[in-house]
Amino acid sequence: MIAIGIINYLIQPKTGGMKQLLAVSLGILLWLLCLAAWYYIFNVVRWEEKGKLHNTISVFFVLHITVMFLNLFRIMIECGSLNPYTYKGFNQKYFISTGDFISGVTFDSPVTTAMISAFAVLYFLYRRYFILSLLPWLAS
Amino acid sequence: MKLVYQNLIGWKQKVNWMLLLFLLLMLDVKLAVKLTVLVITLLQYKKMSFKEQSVRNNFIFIYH
Repeated sequence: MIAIGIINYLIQPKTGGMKQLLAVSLGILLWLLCLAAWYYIFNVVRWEEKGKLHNTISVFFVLHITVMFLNLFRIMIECGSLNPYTYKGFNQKYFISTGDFISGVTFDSPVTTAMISAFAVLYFLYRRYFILSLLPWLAS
Repeated sequence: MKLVYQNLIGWKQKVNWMLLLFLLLMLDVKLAVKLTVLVITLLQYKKMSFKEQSVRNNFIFIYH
């Protein structure tokens, strides 16, 4: 991906300027960041006890789900409704878009939150923790 | 109460807190937080030791 970014920058000299160089550099930085994160996680997974890894990832997912629930409760209190998905107040601020206001432990966009929740569901199902696998569904 | 305390202590030892912290902060939405945690993690990486298990996990994609 880094090579594609560099080649793409080099073969377009007419549009290439300082702004484009900055954008390419930031893109490369993000990929290097991913590489370094992968290297760290790869080595931890390689050498750490399996039980500890399972506990760690379970705690991470539970924290994520807890933050999602807290966000949902905050919205419920703000709306004064048990089901904000049907609440049409505040010019329909929440209503069917309530999920857009629920962020997880990353404070990222709802798409990222949903992706992590999907991984949590798969992980807990795989580990046969059926009750825990239901929680991400309930929160979103 | 003592049992709860012992369970908590047991849990504390059964979690890799550095990895958990790394996951939490690395997945944070802010780039500055990601960069900071990555630099700190890689700087202290050599100090990490996995004393309890000195054998490499064979199948890293399959955990049972």
